[in-house]
Amino acid sequence: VDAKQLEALYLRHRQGLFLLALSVVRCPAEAEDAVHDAMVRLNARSSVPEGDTVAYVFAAVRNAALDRLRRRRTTDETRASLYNGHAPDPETAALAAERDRALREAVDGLPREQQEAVVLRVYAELSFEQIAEVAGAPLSTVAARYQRALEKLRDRLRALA
Amino acid sequence: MSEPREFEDLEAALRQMAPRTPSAGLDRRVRRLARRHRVPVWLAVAGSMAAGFALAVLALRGPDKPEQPVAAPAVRHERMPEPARNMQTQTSGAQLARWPAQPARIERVWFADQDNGIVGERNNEPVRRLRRGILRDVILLDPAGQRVLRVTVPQQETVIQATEPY
Repeated sequence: VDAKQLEALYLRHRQGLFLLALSVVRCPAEAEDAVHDAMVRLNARSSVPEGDTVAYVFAAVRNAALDRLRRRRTTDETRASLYNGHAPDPETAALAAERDRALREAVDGLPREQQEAVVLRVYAELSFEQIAEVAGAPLSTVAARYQRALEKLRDRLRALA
Repeated sequence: MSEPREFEDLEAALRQMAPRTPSAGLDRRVRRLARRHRVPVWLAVAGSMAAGFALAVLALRGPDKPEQPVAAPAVRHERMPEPARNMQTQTSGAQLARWPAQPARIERVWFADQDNGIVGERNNEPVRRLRRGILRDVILLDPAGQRVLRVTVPQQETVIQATEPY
């Protein structure tokens, strides 16, 4: 992957890459730094291993975010939401506000690995095979994580209804 | 893998929500990175190959010729130094099974990258420090005299890179 291809790959997956980092470090500024760290490292490499390049880049971002998490000196737990604080469309905001708020809180409250599965599947639109490669876990494990996450979100919405 | 249909509505609802997006600043940082002139690995490798070739010429001269002075290596190691054990390996020559018919050179380069993160600022821009430790291990084989010359040279490159402020 040369620098231009890497840039194109970033532009195509920027939202998913950022959300993946955010789901790990839970701080938007630090998530951007983690994405940048990964791009610096990938740019410095003369070659990438054979296989799924998209999954490889996501894995690099995940590792950079985990590195940042480990390097944190304080135990202060930053918990920024994955979502913006407002509904995108004011007209539908009133109807969907309660459901969205509940969903937001439910997603933000998921364990990290389940949240990661949701981010990679729903927002990054990766296949389960790619998610398994990014997470370094068996396919059945990431599928089970995703399933459990959706069950929790569904239960939350049912409780709301 | 088939997904339960009962979750399709839920996935659609999640997609309709407004997740945070990366800032334009990150886009600029990545673009700048792509345009940044890389100090290419090939340049370092080419340099070491040229040095290795020069050493080979000096080391493999016939015994009837007067000894030529060879620049003393910075460091000589019988074993790979400790910090190099976790480094990545590139091999430009095969393992020696027996003396080759012709003079040969085996070169291995280990390198490891370290990102020190933001270390200060210059012209009101935060700067990041990247370090690359490089270890070149050159083995020259002279089948005529059955002589082996091994040179190990550690090197460190430090790059200070301006980053986009928030």
